[in-house]
Amino acid sequence: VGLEVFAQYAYRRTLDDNGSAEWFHRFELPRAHMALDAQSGRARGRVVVEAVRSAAEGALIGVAGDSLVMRLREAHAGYRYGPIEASAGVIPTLLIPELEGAWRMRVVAADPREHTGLIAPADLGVRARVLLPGGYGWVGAGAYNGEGYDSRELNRGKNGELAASFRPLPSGLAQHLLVVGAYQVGSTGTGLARANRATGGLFWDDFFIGVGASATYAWGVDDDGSRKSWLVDAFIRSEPVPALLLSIRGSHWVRATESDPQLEGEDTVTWMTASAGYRLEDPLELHTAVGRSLPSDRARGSLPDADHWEARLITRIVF
Amino acid sequence: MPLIRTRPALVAGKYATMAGRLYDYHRGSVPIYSHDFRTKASVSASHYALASPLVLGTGDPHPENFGVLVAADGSLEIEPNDFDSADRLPYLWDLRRLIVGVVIGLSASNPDDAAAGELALGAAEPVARATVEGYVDAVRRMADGAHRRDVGVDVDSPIIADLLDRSADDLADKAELGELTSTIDGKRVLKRGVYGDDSQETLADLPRIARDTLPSALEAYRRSLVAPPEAKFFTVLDAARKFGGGVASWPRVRILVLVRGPSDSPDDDVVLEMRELIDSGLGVFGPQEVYFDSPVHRVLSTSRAAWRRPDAAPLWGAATFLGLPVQVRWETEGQKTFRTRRFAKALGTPDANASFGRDAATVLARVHGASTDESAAPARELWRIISVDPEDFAREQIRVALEYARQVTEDHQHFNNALRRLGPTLGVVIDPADAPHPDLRALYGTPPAPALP
Repeated sequence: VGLEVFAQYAYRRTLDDNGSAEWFHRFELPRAHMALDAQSGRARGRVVVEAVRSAAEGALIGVAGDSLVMRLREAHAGYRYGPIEASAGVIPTLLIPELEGAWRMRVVAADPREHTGLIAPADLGVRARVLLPGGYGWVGAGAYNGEGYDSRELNRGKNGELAASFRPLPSGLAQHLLVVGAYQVGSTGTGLARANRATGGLFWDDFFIGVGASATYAWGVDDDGSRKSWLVDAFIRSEPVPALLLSIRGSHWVRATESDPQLEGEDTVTWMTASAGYRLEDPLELHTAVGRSLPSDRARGSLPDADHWEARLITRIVF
Repeated sequence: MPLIRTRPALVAGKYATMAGRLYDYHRGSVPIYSHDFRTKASVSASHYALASPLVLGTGDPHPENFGVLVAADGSLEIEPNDFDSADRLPYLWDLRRLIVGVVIGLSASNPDDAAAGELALGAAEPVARATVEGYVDAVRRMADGAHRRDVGVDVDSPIIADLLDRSADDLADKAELGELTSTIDGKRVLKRGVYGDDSQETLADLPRIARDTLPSALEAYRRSLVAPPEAKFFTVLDAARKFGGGVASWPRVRILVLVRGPSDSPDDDVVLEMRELIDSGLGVFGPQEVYFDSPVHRVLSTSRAAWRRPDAAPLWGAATFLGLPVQVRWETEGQKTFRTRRFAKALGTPDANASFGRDAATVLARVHGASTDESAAPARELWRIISVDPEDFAREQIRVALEYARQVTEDHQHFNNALRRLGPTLGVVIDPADAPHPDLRALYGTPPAPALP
């Protein structure tokens, strides 16, 4: 049985070019996960439930008002035979957990691919991984509905994912060097809109210091199969002295690559987050984080709340 | 998506309506506009964008969401009359949607005169310009200190004058009683079956559970009114499930309720329309994310703040009915809505359309000028940025709106192709597990079969 909870107080100040600002603050529960794992011989199963607001995106009508409700984040049956492991059900996709594993500071910021909706962290489907001998990493493949774990299947097409996580020098100091690559091909919606993604990343994932950079190119975004988008992301995290947790992360998202003769500049949003935290007692951490989101002029009209500063005080507990 | 799954026949009716006229497609396409506004800089980018303040907006200000309201003192006013999408939003969202709607409205005008229709369509740019200028002028006047209630429309412009005249005539005649009701043994009842020119507009019996719940819902509605009449005014005489009407709201539950009115005489019976409300669906624009407690609160707050006077429609209220948030308003021919297909002959000229666009934009600016907890005088902040270069502001809005109107025209063709290819619910497979429980199914009812063009 496992448990992970993030609870935070967030203050956000939204700005605009006109010099006006609007602010809001609230207590939030970015994550409440409860996991149950079971294993017998080579067979294994896992269920993870998470808390979510029942009415998202500013909606007023939800379940029992706008309650926090529990939903399935993972529910899969698996089998491991030697270096091969396979699972089916509501499963984590291959890429996002690997990227989060290198970052290790999910409490401070989600992976930007998940945050932007470019790649779902979990879906209904089946996946298999083969662990490479000698600690070189793994290669895997998955097939999913393609609508993400929070939506029902809407088309006959299925999404495929090929991913690999490779440690070129699995022993010695360089064992922390990690190369991750993935390609997802598929579609979303009843209209079978293309939704392909290619991602590559290079990381150093030592426990005490982690550094990484990654990039994703997307063909088809938001049910628009013709739209192309890309995102780059980099981070540094460190535990320079025991229990002191520092991190900084920056992401730059080009929402649409197409140029428009009528519009100046690019359609982009850039995020920066810096955090300092302390592990008060082994399962309990306290973090402060400051973030800046900055849209380009071209993106500002679409995302009027994207130009903001944010300060957060976050606790994390994990068992 | 939940609507398609739980009431596919009703959603199919909406899609069939959208497949018809381009203008009806536009009326039903707020979710696509929302998608485009958020994802396409060509729709939302601007040198004049403002993240703050988010104004009070109607969310879907096309010409057929404006009309006449009969105020408590009997005076007639041109006001927004649809708050299904009303919310706090960027002012350019509303302004651009209005200009696009006015331009697309030109395609629906002069339906029986091709030459006049071509002439109107050819005037898209000047009509769009008049619309923007109406908005800019009204914002400027409010920023200069004019009170919102003093920012009015030109009641002598042809389209406005026509609607006011026809509303006044039908108000005096109580025309809706003749259209929707009949008298049996001295008692008035609602008709059943087709009641208008459109075969999709029908009245059917209401399930018993709904009839039994009406009195308590009407009492809650009565208490939501600015100046509630006494309770016996709302004594239920008859009620019927209404199908058809609207486009975006086609799948929602609509009920006509015949109530007693001021006296026991059948001559002053009153017809109310009760209509299911849902979320505005516009999504999140500001850090607060949600600005209203419930859909009922959203519609009551936005409508009364948007109108020149809170009692602009004294029988306009809201309540909860069988767990559904509902809006209730007077169903009267005295409160007519603009219909673009009636913009014909003297009402269909480029000048008449330009004048109408200017007036609709004036009303919209007046709505945006309503104070909010974020800004006591939003018009001043709007004017601060528009006044940087009003001519460039106008050019930008005209360019974006004309371009988007062309896209909507193309989207309409794509929509029709998709409907033919994917079927009446656009390819969503209906799962029997999604079927609502029997009482709710009875309330949803069985609409007329969709009439695909």
